[in-house]
Amino acid sequence: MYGDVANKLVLEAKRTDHLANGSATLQLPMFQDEMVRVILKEVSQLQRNAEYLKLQEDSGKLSKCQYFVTMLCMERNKRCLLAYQKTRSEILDAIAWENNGLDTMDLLSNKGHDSGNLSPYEQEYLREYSQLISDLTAGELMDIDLAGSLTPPSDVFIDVRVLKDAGEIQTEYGVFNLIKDSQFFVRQADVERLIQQGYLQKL
Amino acid sequence: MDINIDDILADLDRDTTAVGSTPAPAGDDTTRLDDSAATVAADYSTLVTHWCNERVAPELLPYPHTLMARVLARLAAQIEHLETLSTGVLEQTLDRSAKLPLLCMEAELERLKFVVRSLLRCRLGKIDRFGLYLRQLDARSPGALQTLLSAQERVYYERHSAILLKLFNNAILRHMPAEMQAVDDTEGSVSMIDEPEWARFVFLYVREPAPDAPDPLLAVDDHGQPCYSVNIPELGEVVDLAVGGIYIMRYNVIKDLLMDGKVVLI
Repeated sequence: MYGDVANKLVLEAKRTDHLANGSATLQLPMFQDEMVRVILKEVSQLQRNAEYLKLQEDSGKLSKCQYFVTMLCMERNKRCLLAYQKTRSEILDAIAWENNGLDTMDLLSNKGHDSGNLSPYEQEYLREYSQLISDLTAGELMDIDLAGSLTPPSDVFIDVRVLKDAGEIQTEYGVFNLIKDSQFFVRQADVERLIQQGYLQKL
Repeated sequence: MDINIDDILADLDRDTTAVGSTPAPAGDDTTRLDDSAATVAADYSTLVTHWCNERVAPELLPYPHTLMARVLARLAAQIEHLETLSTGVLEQTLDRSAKLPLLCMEAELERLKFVVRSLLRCRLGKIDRFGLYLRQLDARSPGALQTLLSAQERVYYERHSAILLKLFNNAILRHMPAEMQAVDDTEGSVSMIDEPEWARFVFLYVREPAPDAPDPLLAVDDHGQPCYSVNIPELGEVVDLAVGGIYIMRYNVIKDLLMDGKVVLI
């Protein structure tokens, strides 16, 4: 039946959305290349049908209705495809923000879920969007630290525990040597980035 | 620790006012909210009002150009000031009494940065959501985006829509029949342009007008209270919003009052 595959794709989009919002770390399942291709094929098939139906001059109500339903199917397929891609692009946006527009490709592969989950176009999009964010945050708005934490700050200084070795960091209060499992009392603004990257844990 | 909190506050006041003496860049005011005297405290409360309004309103509100220019300039100056102070403090003895005011100022700075960051991120989120709607708005009345968005936001908006469109085109649209390749089609069964939810309910507080500038729109209700009258079209009803009152209304009903700064969203 026409529209069945698109339905599946919408369910996949819903699953993607749940997966991204449900867990603490953002993750993106595999791009459903096969499904997208099948739907696109279906659209061109429908298109041929529509053209054929249009040519039927002696048509009565029946074929007019057929033509209309065909158009609706095509439109629905398009809507489903775009919705799927939009959902994924929004998650990509979130990933890019979380990493402060740094080269997210490296991070993705480091974190285990390799960039094979993304379609080539999505990889390109993510790269360009990350570039956009780093341009934006490095400009006049540098002081604000636009990609910083969106929870209101409570203390200037916080206790952190080191989860992964991160070498030495230099702050205006001295040098810290971040060795795994050690604890420090540091200024939050100094280590914000390390917390986001998962090196430190706020206590 | 026997430090008088008043001293610290006085210290802070002096520091912030010293920074506040930077001349405010002149420019055209876009909203009535900007009209208030450019003192530091007033600017901060205006900023917080803008922030609340932006977070609650369903649509993108005009960018407070002059206010933000002032706030950002002061922020930069304060960061620099703090840096010189803290290096000075470190060279002297590491005495707690000298560090505490510094700590307070840093905390305050972090808070201000948070408000600005949250405001801007909220706006960027809305720009992403209503990208196509903004495009339509721009086509309808050229120049509207100039006041609605800041320069950086405009750059962001242009670039993000461009790469998003490229993604859609590459992945889907170019495999479609030619007449179905548009992303801003309003002819089909469902409009593809996502508009802000104009009829969303919002909480609002009616502000008191400044005493020296009486408001011509202000009427007096049955109980002798000053109020603004709004018309709710779908009920065909006129409602009085008393000054100082808190109401729940549909956004489109009170939009004009909000733009004039007569009510604030909470």
